[in-house]
Amino acid sequence: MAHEDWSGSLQIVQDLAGQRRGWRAQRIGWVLLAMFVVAALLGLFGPGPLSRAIAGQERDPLWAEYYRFWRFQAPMTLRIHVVPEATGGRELRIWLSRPYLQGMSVQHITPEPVRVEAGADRFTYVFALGEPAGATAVTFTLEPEARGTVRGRVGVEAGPTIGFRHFVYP
Amino acid sequence: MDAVLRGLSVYLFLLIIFRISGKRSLGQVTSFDFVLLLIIAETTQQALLGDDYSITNSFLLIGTLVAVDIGLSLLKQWSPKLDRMLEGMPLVIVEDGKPLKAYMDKARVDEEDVLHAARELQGLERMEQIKYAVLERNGDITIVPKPQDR
Repeated sequence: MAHEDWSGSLQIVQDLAGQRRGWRAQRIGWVLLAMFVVAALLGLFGPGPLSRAIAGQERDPLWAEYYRFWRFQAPMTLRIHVVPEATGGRELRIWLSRPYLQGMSVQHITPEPVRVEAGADRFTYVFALGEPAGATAVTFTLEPEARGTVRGRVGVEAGPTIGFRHFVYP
Repeated sequence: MDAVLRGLSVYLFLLIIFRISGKRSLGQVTSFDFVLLLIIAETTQQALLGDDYSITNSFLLIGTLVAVDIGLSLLKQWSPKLDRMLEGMPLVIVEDGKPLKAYMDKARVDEEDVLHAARELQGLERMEQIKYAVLERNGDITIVPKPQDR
């Protein structure tokens, strides 16, 4: 530690070595800050290419668009694509796992379900199907009320199921 | 618990950010600095409160922030080394009318800043009239003028 109590006739305590250390630390801080901003642009903390993901494959009878990384209490879109079975009736029954929904605040569902059925481990959303029943998608707007890793499962009743996962930043 | 953790994390984050940005970056030298500071204040408020506008939440947050601030000041008093690391030390940037360019560049202070301080604080006209200019710990520049027989 370089301590000079005098600089010429000026009584002052400087710490030039400390200043240099501080400036070096500052520059490292700038690099970290830049990385932080770039990571955010890429979607590490929310919407962006790193975060957008698909559960299942696009041609499957059930697949979902979701975000790998999201933030606490920020509105998030979960889109579930279904191809209703040709034999099916006038109803589309989609379920989401209960632990998942309990950690979310459901803001809206497009289209609106006709009713929601509570089950032991799942809630089943019942939608009216128009005809002819072709491939369609249901969009949930959710706000995470839990932080950290959140796992969810979605399925069509008597049909396929898929899982997905978000990491929710506080 | 939530409020205290929010308060703590925001306080620490701001401490780091301000330290990274340097002493003068948010010194309100220009109107833009002022606007930036306002924006930071607004963002911080939203992050601290979240959805909870209760009086209790605000008391918790204010209490936490003040407690951490007091704690930090006690810590700095107890450890001068920590104090130096967090607050820095003053730095002579002009000596006997001559700007010390290397230090000024590192501290991102230019001659115009020094002359501004000289005019404001001492009514000086020229760099040669400055005996010492010091970049203080809080980012201000203070001026010791040369004796008047110049």
